[in-house]
Amino acid sequence: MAAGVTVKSEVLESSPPEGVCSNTEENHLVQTNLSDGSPNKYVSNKSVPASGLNAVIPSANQLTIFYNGSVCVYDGIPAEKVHEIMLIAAAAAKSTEMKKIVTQTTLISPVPSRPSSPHGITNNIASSQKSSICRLQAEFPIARRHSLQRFLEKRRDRLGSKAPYPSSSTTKVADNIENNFCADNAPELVSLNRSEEEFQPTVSAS
Amino acid sequence: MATRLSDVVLDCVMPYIHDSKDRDAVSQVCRRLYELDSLTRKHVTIALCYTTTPDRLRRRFPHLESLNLKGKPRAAMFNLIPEDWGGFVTPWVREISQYFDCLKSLHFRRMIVRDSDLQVLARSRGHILQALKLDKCSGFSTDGLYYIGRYCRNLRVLFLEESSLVENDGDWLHELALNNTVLETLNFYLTDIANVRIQDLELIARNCPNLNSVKITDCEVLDLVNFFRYASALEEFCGGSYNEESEKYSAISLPAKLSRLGLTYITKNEMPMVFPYAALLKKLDLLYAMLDTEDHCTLIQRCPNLEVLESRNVIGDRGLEVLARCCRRLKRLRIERGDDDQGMEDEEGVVSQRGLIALSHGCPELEYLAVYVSDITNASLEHIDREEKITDLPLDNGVRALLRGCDKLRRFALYLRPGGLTDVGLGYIGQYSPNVRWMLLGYVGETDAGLLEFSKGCPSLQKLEMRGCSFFSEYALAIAATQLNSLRYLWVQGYGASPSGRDLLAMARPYWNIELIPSRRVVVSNQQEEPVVVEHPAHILAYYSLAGPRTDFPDTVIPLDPATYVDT
Repeated sequence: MAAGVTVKSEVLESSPPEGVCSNTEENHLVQTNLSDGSPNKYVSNKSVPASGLNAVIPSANQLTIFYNGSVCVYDGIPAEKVHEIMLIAAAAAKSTEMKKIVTQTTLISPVPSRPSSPHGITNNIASSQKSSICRLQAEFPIARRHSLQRFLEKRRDRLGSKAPYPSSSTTKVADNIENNFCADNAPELVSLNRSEEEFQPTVSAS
Repeated sequence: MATRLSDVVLDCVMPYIHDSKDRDAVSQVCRRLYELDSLTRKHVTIALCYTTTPDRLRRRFPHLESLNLKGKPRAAMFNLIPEDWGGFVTPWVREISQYFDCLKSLHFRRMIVRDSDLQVLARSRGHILQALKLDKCSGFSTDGLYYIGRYCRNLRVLFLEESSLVENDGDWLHELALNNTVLETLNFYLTDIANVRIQDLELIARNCPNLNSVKITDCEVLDLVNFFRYASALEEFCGGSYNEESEKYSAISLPAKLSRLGLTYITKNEMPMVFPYAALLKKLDLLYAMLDTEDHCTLIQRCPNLEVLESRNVIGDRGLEVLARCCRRLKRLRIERGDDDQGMEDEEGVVSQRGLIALSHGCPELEYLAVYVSDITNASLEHIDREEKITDLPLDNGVRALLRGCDKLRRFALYLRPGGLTDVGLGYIGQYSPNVRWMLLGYVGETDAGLLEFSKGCPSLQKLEMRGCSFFSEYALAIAATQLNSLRYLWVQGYGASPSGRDLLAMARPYWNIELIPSRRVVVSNQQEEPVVVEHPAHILAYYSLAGPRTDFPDTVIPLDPATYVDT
């Protein structure tokens, strides 16, 4: 299980991407446990199944993800991508809880963004931008044309569904992982079987 | 004798006066000219359907051939107005079906249309109707369109762009294809229509030799090869999608006369198919393209004859500089706000005063400019420095330079983020907009003083829309509305609202309707498709109306009645 989350800014770029994925248990509910930050405390107040998404980074360039009882290990993931993946995971957990709350017709304020990470300038700036967008959204509805809003949603879907190319670089593989996470956390919670299928092409491309 | 002679002369002259402002002026000279205008007026635009009534329109202009009617405030395009706010076409369709025997062209914009309205219209006016535009309308389905396709055999223009309609089947298009031989414009662009049989499009292209504009949803472009071959007179095409391998699209032959193009979902890989036609393009719609800044630059520099461009802020300052350098005949430009997340093509999409100044220098014929000015999103030190500059009075001088360089400007939209323009900049806008009639301002100014300084200028301003100005008080808004001598329509969201709205009454006057839409909470999906509760701040809508206050208010709208406060 998760002993702690450490994001290291230095990554050995020469390491080729490599993925190992094993499936031990199937669970339809996506949950996230993060040992730091308020989202974790927020989630832990609810009844959370023991098996969930845990991010552990034991070495500088290796990412291990515990997800619905399965363990996935990736090498050569940039620290920036790791941070983004963790943000997406936190958002997914928040999304799950938010759906339940909205179903109960209870309106609450949006959860404030997490404090910026002390590791590295890049993370600070990324978090700052996220905070800016979240704050803007909390203060005022974004005025974007209805048709353009729908286009952006469709575009996200189209980009997410594209299969990775065999010759893609490390960054591309990481991007694909990110997109797969987005697809996995679609409104209807996907089963482990489907998520495994999504991950499979990535592994094959390595 | 002299009187009769002048009557004869006037009868001959009047039909040649077409400009609505000229006609308005003529009709105020004397009773005779008023009556002549009534009998010979062919076209009327009603900018807001609640400013008059169907009955009054019929009595004033009984022989209309063309009517343009607008409903909801423009902010409805951005999901800011409640869906049931109003703007129903039913009373107008009823009047049209009974009395307007000469009406050939009908244009509804941002209105609520029922299938029954379309049925009544088609059955009563189908034989004479030549143009029907349901522009950003809602409330109807393909069942209503079936009647249009079935009965309106003389239809030359069918326009459904951005309408929210329910698709039940594709029979309406099939019916249109079977019955119509004169169609010139077919537009269901940016709707939810997906059941399109390519054979119906091909049949329309074969049967209608004058077909010159087709804007559709995202059909696979490779399926349109025959359609493009049959539609030899086509000048405008928008729509399509690119789901196959990129190499296949280089074989596509577009019609030779094509000069207006909208590329939905196209990427860098398919873009070369456009290059052979780029030099002929006068209008380019890239709002729904999947291109990054570099791609924009590559394509734009191949379009020296471009007059109209629409895109997202992904075009960046660099793209605007290419535009200013290569497209000197540009007349209309719209830059919308793209995605806020990093990692998409929009990563470099930043527009600042740098791009605005370039346009001011490079495009002297510019008539229409709507630019979303965004935040800095890149993480480099250089951009951080830039952000600092933007924070410190970034656009005041840029806006002034722009307005000075484009002295023919009649419509102006400037939408910033908080702190993007100071009171000084807002004063510049008032000072340097002598001919502007419509204006949209977002997050501009700092205090009431800036707003009042602004309202000392803008002598021609008729319609004003403002947003994100919580620092403006109700009283200052009311005074500004009074000082803007030509103002006849005002929409504001996000002002410094008081519980009662009492201070707004400073703008009360005869025939001036004031409506409030109180703040409300709306659940929407954010970037990660998770539900988020968003607070919609209060709105003010105020407008002149010959009809007085309307009666079809939904619960979300509160009319501000001056009489209620007389005792205070």
